[in-house]
Amino acid sequence: MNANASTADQGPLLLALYDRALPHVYGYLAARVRDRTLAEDLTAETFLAAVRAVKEQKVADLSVPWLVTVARNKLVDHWRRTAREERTLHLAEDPDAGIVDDDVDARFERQRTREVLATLGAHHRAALTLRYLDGLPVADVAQHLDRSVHATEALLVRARRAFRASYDEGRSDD
Amino acid sequence: MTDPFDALREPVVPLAPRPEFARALRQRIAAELGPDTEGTTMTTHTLAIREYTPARLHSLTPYLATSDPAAAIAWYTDVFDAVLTPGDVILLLSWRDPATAEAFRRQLRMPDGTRVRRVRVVRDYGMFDRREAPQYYPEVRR
Repeated sequence: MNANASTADQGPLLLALYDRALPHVYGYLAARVRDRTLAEDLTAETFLAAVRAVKEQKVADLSVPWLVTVARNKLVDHWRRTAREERTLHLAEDPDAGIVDDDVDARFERQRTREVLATLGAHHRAALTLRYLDGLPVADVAQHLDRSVHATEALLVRARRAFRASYDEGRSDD
Repeated sequence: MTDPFDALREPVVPLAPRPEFARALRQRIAAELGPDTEGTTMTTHTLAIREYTPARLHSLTPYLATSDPAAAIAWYTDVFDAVLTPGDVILLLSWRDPATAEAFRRQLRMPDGTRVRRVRVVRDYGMFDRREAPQYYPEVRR
């Protein structure tokens, strides 16, 4: 099927793509959020955003990878909302944020990683997920988070430190 | 010195959500795209049946003259939902009379998880033979 057909044809194309795309979109989201209900909500938001984009004839490349990027945008929106709610609960940022990470030879277990990510502040979770789970370059992460590259790098330093602290803390209970 | 965080890299692993959720979302998308989407689909593309829901299945107005219409509709939903589920297979067989059908069913050996449904045809009609049709449309000439 030609995904670059005239945008007037893209409604049926989106429907035809749905069965194949749904597990990719849901799989992407389910691996990055706490619970199934949230993954479903974000999946629905993703496809409805795709419908709007198709109706507005803004989709150059109607494909599964494109839908995953829409899902990522919805995920970032969700983290932003969550971060706003959390803002009142945060302690002041550490003024020593410029400290370089230790060279800790840690290997992170996947399941434990997910648990720890879920406990972090949304802005730290967003930065680490985009940079490391999704493998995006820092410049792309900065764009998603609407920050400068410099501010994003600083955020990543703090996020990695928060992640390690929480990860190791859990470990010491063994 | 590699960044240990790089080990967190997780490519997209497809995961099927709940079938009820998948179905409901599909209907919502189809509705948002507008009724002509389905119409266009039917006339300009040849899609596998699992890729669209015929409008008649959205609201089952029963012409079925059975003793238990609710069960018949449940059966219809049952059968046609399976049609829309990738990977599911439906086999539809017809017999001249109940005795033959029953004889067939008794000797049937199917894998676990197979469901067998029996239905009585009360109207037999199609495009080319309209004698038993509940609504009048002229026959199509072959």
